[in-house]
Amino acid sequence: MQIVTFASAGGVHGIPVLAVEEFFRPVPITRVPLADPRIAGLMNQRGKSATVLNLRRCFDKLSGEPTVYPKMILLETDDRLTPEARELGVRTFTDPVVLLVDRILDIVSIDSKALQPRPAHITERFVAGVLRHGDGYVCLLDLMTLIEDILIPKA
Amino acid sequence: MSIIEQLTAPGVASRNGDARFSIFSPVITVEHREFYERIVSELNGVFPICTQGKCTAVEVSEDATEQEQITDLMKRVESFSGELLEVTKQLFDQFYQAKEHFCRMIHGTTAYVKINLMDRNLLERTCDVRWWALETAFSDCIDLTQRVHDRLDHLLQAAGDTPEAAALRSCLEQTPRWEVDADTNARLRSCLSELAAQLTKAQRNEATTLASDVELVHKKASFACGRLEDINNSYTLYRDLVIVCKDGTIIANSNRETRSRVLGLNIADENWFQKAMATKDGTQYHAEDLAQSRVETDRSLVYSAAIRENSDNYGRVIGAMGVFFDFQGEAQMILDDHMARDAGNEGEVDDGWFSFLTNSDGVVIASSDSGIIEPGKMPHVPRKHRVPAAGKPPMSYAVFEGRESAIFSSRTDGYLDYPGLGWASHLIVPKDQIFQTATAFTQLGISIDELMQSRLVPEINKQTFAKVQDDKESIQLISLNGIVFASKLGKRGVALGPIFDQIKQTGEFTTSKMEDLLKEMAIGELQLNLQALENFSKQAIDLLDRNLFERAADIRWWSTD
Repeated sequence: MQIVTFASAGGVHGIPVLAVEEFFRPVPITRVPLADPRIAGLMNQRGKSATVLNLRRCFDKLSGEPTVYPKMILLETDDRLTPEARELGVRTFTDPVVLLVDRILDIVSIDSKALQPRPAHITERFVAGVLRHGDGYVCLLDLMTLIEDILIPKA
Repeated sequence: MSIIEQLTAPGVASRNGDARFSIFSPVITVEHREFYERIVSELNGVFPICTQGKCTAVEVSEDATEQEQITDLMKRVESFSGELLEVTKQLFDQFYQAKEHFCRMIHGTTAYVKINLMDRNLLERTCDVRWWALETAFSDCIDLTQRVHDRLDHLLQAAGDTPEAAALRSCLEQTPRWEVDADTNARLRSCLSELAAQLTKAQRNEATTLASDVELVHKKASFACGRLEDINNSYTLYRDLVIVCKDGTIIANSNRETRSRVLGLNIADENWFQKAMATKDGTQYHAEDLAQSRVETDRSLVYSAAIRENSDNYGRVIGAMGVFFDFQGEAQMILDDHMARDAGNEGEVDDGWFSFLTNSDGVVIASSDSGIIEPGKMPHVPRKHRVPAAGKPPMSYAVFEGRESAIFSSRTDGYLDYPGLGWASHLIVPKDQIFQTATAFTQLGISIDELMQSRLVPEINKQTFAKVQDDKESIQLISLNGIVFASKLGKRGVALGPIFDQIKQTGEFTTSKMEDLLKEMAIGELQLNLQALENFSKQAIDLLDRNLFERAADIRWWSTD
């Protein structure tokens, strides 16, 4: 499986490439009053509004300085996922969601069997597990856990 | 305008002007040319890759939208690569222009400082000569000598053509002169008493008083010589100082070694003497450009002023004072200063570095290497350098002694109330030394990113740096998007993978190389900045030192008064 790695909140994280529609530079965001602080706002993406999640704020502890030149990752909507993606168990939200991250790093191929469970010190539920990559580790994120936590109102 | 403003202004102008460096210019270092070729070939390599990408798009997909998406990505890569090619050229342009600008500032100022130092020095000389000419010892001496001469003439006329008169006449002409030599003076007095025996009583009385005055002249002239020696010992800048009677006869000098030859010499026909005699009052002086004088064997720079009756500023002119400045010695020190030196070769001036002064006719008057730039001849420099106009100091590149060199010239129009003699100073520096790559400079104590953000780095470089980083990001985003796109095509997209990988690599390689160059530039500029400051401060200290030296000499001499 290929994942895209990016930097956010002082760490390196990854998501499956098949969950990504496009990478781009930040576009103007409209703030939404009274929204969850993790939501940076709404943006217009090809006529549809997409919710921008500020990934830095999604972590329990804020760490690292926010960058001056962040990047955006537009996620695929659930209906546009390729059969291959579904086969691999990639899940995304029904509406367009954008992740605001510090820097896009690379696209790498990984062996999903090498995925190790989330270490005990990482409290964020949306971290699916960690992977050895190069000299360090990459946290693989479970997008649906994150998105549902923010965007689906709890009963 | 201050020295620095004056010299930096043209540099700045050329920086914003159209002057451009070609990558084919011989001054571009081998490393940089290799570097440039590498970047250009990498970037040029992107274009066929993009074409291949467009072809692959047609092969892998029958969907027109998908094809268009790929083609669009490829086009964007092409456009960024084109931009980067342009930026690379600009980068080298800026790099070399910045170096030229700083060197122009440093060497142009050095050329200016040299001539300015000379003029400041010469101003002091004009002050010296005016003030010394007012010394009472000199006016007394001339006054008395003149009167004794007149009375001797009168007496000789009265005596007629007797052997005693002839003996007296020959004694008057004898060297060493009776005015300063005790023996001749005694002989003159004995001649005078022999002559007196044949004269009338009244004339005998006159001869007796005259004999005592003749002795007094010797005392006064010796005292004047002593005073001149005092001055010379205090200042150490003069080859000789002379006191001249109205008729052009030298009656006192400071140089013991040449005294027997110089005293009694008649220099009535020399220009410096005539000009001094013609001055209107004690505030005026004459500065004679390098010329041959019978007082000195070498060509000398003479400053002269009139000696006036009773040492009064507005008194009648009774003689003149001439000071022979040790120009060669002073000039040599100034010319040898601020030159690159070979540490290994006993601190000899580096090959290819020359410094020399020319007069208002463009003829060399002093040179750091008289074997190559010969005094008395016109130097082999571009026309606009020969007699540089006031104002903008010229700078050109030319081949000098078989070596590509940069030539800096500067003239001053005097200092304070000294108008100067229209001289110019020239500095020749090998061109490759201006553009040599900065040596590794690791002890900056500041990170490269901090440096790039600091105000030490010119705005234009910062813009380029930002542009390179921006393009780097753009290419990265395009290639990543391409990979995402290809991965969604599944098996069909496999063919596109390597293409985007290649684009990504090229983008990373070229932009990181460019960043390196920008960093090298920033460090180089910082170094040059520091070097310029070091140079300016050295020169400023030199200036102060020389001024203080003059003051020290003044106080030594005043204390003997």
